[in-house]
Amino acid sequence: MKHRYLVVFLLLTLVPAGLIVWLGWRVSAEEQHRTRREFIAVIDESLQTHRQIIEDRLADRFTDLLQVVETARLADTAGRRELARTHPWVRQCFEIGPRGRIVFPSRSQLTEAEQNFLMRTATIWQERQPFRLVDEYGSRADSGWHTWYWSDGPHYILWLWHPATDHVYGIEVERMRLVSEVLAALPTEGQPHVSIPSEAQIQLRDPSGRVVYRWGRAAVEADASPITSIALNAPLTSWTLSYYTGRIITTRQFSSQTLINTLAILLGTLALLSGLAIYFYRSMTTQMRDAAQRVTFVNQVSHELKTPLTNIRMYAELLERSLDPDDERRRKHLDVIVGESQRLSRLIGNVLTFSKSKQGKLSIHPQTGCIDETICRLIEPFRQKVGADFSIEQQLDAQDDCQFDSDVLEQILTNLLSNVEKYAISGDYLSVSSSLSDGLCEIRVTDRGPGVPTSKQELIFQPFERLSDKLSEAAGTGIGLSIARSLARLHGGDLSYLATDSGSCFKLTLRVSP
Amino acid sequence: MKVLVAEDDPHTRAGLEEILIEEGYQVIATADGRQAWQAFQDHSPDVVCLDIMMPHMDGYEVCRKIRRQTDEPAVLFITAKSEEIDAVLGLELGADDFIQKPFGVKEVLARIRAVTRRIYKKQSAANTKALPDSFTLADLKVVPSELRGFRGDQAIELSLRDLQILKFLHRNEGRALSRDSFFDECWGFDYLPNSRTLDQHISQLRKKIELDPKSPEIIKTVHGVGYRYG
Amino acid sequence: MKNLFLYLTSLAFLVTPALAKQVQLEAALANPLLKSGQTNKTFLKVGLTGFALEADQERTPVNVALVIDRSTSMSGGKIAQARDAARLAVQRLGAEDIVSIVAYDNSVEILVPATKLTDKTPVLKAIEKLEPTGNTALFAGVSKGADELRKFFSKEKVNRVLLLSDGQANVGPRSPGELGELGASLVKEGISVSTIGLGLGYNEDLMANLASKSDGNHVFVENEVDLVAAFDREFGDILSIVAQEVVVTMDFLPGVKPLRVIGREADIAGQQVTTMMNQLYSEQEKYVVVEVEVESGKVDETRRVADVAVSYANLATLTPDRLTSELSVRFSDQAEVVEAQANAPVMAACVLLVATENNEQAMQLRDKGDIAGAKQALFDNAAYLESSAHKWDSSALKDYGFSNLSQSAAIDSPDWSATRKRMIELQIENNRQIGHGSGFVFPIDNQKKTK
Repeated sequence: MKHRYLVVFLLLTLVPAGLIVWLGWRVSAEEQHRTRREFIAVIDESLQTHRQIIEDRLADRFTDLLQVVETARLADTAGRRELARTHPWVRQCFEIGPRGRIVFPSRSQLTEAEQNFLMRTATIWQERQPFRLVDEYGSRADSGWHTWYWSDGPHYILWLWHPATDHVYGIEVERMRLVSEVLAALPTEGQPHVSIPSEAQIQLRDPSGRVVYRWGRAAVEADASPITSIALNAPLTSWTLSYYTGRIITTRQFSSQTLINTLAILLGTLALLSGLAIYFYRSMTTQMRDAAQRVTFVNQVSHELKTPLTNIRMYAELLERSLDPDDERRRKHLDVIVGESQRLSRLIGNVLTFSKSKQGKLSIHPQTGCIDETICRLIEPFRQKVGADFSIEQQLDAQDDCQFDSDVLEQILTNLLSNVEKYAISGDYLSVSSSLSDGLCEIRVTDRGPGVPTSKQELIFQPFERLSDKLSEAAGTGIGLSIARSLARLHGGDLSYLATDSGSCFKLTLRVSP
Repeated sequence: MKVLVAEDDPHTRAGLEEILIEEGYQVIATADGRQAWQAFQDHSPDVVCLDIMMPHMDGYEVCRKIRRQTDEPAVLFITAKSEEIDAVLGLELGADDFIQKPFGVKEVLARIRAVTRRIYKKQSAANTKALPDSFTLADLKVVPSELRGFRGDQAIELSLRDLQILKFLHRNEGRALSRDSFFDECWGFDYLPNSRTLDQHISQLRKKIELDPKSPEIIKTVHGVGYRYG
Repeated sequence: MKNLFLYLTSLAFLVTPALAKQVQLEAALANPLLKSGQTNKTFLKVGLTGFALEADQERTPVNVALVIDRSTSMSGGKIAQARDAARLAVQRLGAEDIVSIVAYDNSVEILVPATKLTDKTPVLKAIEKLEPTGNTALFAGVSKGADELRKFFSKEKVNRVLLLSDGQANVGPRSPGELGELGASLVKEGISVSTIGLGLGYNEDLMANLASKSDGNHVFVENEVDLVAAFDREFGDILSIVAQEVVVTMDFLPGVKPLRVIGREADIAGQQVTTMMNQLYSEQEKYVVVEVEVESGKVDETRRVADVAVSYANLATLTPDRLTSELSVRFSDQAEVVEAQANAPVMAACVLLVATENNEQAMQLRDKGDIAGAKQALFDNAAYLESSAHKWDSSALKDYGFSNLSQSAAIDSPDWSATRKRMIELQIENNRQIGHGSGFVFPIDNQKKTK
């Protein structure tokens, strides 16, 4: 039974938990995807900003350089050589005539630098028209950049077409100056206005993929791939700006956030479902245990009642002790308090015994004692209560020591005497007899009260049954006889009602050992 | 004789305290197990009354600690549950007796007197302390170690307080004793005098020991002063 | 007519030294007398000597960028010495000077952006932050250093990048050619890069190329304890610059053909040779040597060989100056007379450059793996220097002869790396006449210092 519940609860917990985890994973994967897209967008913007910085820096230079080309066009040989010798950006000037004829530098008189230039640019001059190419719109540009590769990297030419002569004039740019200028434009470490995360790095790579410059303190592996890259503008179209994040950071930035999200969802879900499961499980077991608990509750309440009851009784008695001996009226009042508190404690005792019997916890603890002594001890207070007009007969014949539970006997007899007090006080008569033989003790309690109708003689032993519901009838819980019989039977005997001519007779038997 | 009471219910505690003081004991009242253990170490009482369910430390634990240290004092448990009685008796805690809730004054007195007698008996057997001597007032033989007086073969239960009063009277035979001197002698100097307390006590004592309480032979009234024997 | 020319020339010689604070131009042929009836090869030397600085004279403010390698290889004593050296540099400069400090490793950090040195404390504090990390982004470091110079760039200041590195450039452009191109471009702006190679780990070709193409100094500091002294010398040079933007133009007359310029970059366009120097130091001679071929002449013929013109920016007067000189040869048929008439100091200077060329070729042999060939070449060079030293009575040649001899001995030893670095240092020293400066320095804030 319990196992079946457990299986059901586990199913109820794990299936939705799994479902939610899966959904959570999907959501967080989507979230990760979105975050990454946003992140890349931000990075793209950062890269574009830096490209713009380069652009801005180079724009003025390039404007100047076009002016330089124009100057070179107008200059003579010496002027052109001087330009190359003195202008930081100009490595060489040249002039190309129609059909690709090299006008300057003139092959007839070359300086060493010019010879080198022609060697560097040899591949260019193999084309008849290397510069004025037809673009995608079908038109030819009038000026532009030309990039070619020689030896250890790209070289750059800025050219200008002169329509009147159909000559192309140009300069070879000092490429290292160009690179240097780009680097100079870019941020250095610790520059506060350039905000890239400390765990990131931006790299400038040349066309061969070689890192030319980088900034940002992230540890980037040599073979790491960038988050995103963008190309620079002409003439550096094969150069890229790439954004990297540190190896550890990459996983943390994306995955760990996702992982945390997923874990949070998972834990939250599990907690919720476990909570629900525990709640349901609890309420089930609570229901299952309810009956038992109700009894336990009664048990506890009864115990709790004992302390105030003690105080009521004790203080009433203390008050009684300090009373003036002549103050009979008040003494009577206090007697009532004390008497009632005693009755209440007896009732509580019954309730406790009843609840114990329901819990199956009732047990007997036989000890050596004298049955008659116990009977006498109980009759004495009874005698005091009922007064001198009430006659009490004792025929006690169980004075030998034997093993029995005096508490049980006491409780049974108290109940029987209490019944006499409640229902048969009008008979003014009580007879108690005892005998002991063959390990069986028999005690009879007889009164001359109204008695019990034959039809109800068994009913009186049922809990909560009383012969009359009239309010005038004496109060009681209606469990006294039921408990008495249970106790008697527990003690190996019984309690039964014997029909008599007048009044009632209860026969109690208990199994005792010598 | 000192009694340590450990009981968490304040009314029960106060009630017990009153009963026991009235009876002639010195009472140290504590509200939980820890206090009780501390008080035990401070005062070394002769009798310890322990409630079982107490905050901080339960009665069993206090008893165990006491017994680990000494066998001297008598230990009485105050219980509400019959199951607890089993425990008290079963656990071999070295408890001397128990009082079951709800209890009345008489039951407490009966138990505490029984314990006191046992202590006297134990002390006489071990010869650790000189037992109080018996003495005679008129036809009444007072035996303090028994907490009883005897007239012929009739035994009369006496409280410690009763004994102190009777002893005081016996020592000052023929002298009229003031009410104040009774308080000083039998209650202690710190006891706040209330003449009714003394008169009531004398009246109840007379009921126990005088043949005719209305015309007392042992404790005679000296009007305007107090009481006198002989 | 001829006499008038001679007169004018001699006048120029008379007048030039008399003018205070002018660069001294001394153009001379190794053989003013040539053998008649044959084609002769000889050398033309154009020497420029910076004028002396006077004690009460304000020196030219400098704009200097210290570019310091702080890659992990600099750990320990090196970086500590570099800090000391940088501190010394700052201490030597005055309130009119501008300094910037750039540190590079993987990336570049500008420790001190270009600032006037009115307050040295923050600069000295920033030097303390020099701690070694990462790789060597040498190219970027120099680029950034140069860019710092540009912030306060002025032709009336000495603009100098001082690069200290102990390692290979391994981030960015890293070949000697590429760095040379950078240097060549920078010098056109008026920026020289002096390079200090520290220890045995740096690339001497790269460092030398960068320095010589930008007309800066190059020093090899084998042991870091000598670093402070090297900085000191460099600053001695920087602070003693008297002229900048020096352009030497030589127009050769018909019958004379310029063959090559030894030890320096120069444009030879037909009959015209142009070369440039970024600066002249006080009381220090820099020269250009051109090998020329003179067509045969008749006995006693006097032939004009070349017109030499030098333009420069005078930092004392802050004016552009121009000097001119013209050179002639005579011819004789007596070989002994021709021989005796040879100009010994010019010959010595020329031999030094030729021997340096030989030394470079020997090193190339060694680089190709021809150790024996290299050894022999150096030995031969040493012999050539020894005999020339005797002939032209030059201690400099003698010294370099010894150097070549020891290099010849060391060429197959495990010590080769240091030797090679020393060789390159000497080659540059010879080609560019480095290390002969007075090093005499007049601090700008004289008063402050005496306080």
